Amino acid sequence: MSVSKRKARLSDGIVRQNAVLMSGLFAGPVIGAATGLLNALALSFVFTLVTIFSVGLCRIIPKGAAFAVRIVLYALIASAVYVPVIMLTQLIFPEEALNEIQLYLAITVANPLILSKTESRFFLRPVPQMFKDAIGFTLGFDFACILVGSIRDILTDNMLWNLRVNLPFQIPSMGKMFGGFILVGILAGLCRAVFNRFSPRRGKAGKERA
Amino acid sequence: METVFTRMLTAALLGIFIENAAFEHALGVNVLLYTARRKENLVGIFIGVIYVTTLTSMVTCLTDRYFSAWEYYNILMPFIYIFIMSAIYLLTLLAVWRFLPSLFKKAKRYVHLSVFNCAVLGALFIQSNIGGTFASYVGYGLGTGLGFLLAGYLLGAASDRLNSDAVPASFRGMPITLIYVGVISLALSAFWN
Repeated sequence: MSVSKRKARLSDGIVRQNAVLMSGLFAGPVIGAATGLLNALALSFVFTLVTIFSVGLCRIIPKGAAFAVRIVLYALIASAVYVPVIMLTQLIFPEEALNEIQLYLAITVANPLILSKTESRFFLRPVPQMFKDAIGFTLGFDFACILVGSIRDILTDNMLWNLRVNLPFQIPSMGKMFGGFILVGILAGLCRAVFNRFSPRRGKAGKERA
Repeated sequence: METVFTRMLTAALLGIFIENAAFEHALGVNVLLYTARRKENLVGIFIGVIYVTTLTSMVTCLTDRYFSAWEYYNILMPFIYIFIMSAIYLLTLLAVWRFLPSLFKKAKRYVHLSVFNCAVLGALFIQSNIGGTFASYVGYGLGTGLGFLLAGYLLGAASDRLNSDAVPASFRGMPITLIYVGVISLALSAFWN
């Protein structure tokens, strides 16, 4: 069944095609910026608003335009949407946290959900289904980002935001870049293992292969 | 002349090793995963990244120099940089379409991956934070592209092993590749520290 005929399901983007843990489509900013819960929340906030509004606005661009021109317009729209979003973010989150992850906030404008998934998935559906699908994908990203940020917060400082978490050990290197790569890799593998175990379709395919 | 060359070389080495976009900043991970999966476009994509980072750095050096004092420059930076990248992308595409139609046919499917990716955009922001002369901007842009090529080569070289039966099925592909990149990143940061 083609993508356009299938009904959009929120769970597609949250679980089955999670942009961080299942496909790795936008794993880089999570690895680089989600070193703590606060940073993860700020990144998720900016990512969600930029993606949802950009996908909605990009839908207006005529399909007849050349692919190269469409891609350029998607990127320009996303970077224009970023301006009010970052101004709003500055009102909500502390400046210190935003300065730390400024680079990763800015590159949300070049995220593959806007630049590739729009063409290959979102725009193949009617508008309400498109928004449902896009919200599913952004929720999936937010979930992964906050999970990684929380785990790194706990392992690095034995803290979750301002709450003390009593663990008998600390792993300060989890806050480093390589710690992020290894943690996201392990989480992705575990998620796939759990998904393969409980997904009836994959389980059946696996049994047939065996 | 020697100073210009030295500055350019230092900035290039910084971009290749110490500030490697992929290993030190986790930028362009999706492009690396894509190229590790489909090796046929590897060279084209990385040549594109080197070309775009170098050329865009030259232009952003000028915008940084003349507009950085402006109050809203930080907020508008993504828009300005994307605008510059788009102009270079469209002009290059037009030139290739006009003068090298066979290359255009091949490259048009994946050339946007070389331009609109986090590695290129991220490198421009990092260079803007570091600052420097025109030579260092060009050197850093070139170095970022070459560093990204190095990361792609290391991933491509290991991709057969990372997808082999020796790896548990759930970890095959993306998860084990991220762990592998993490180990390289650990080795590099230990070396430079």
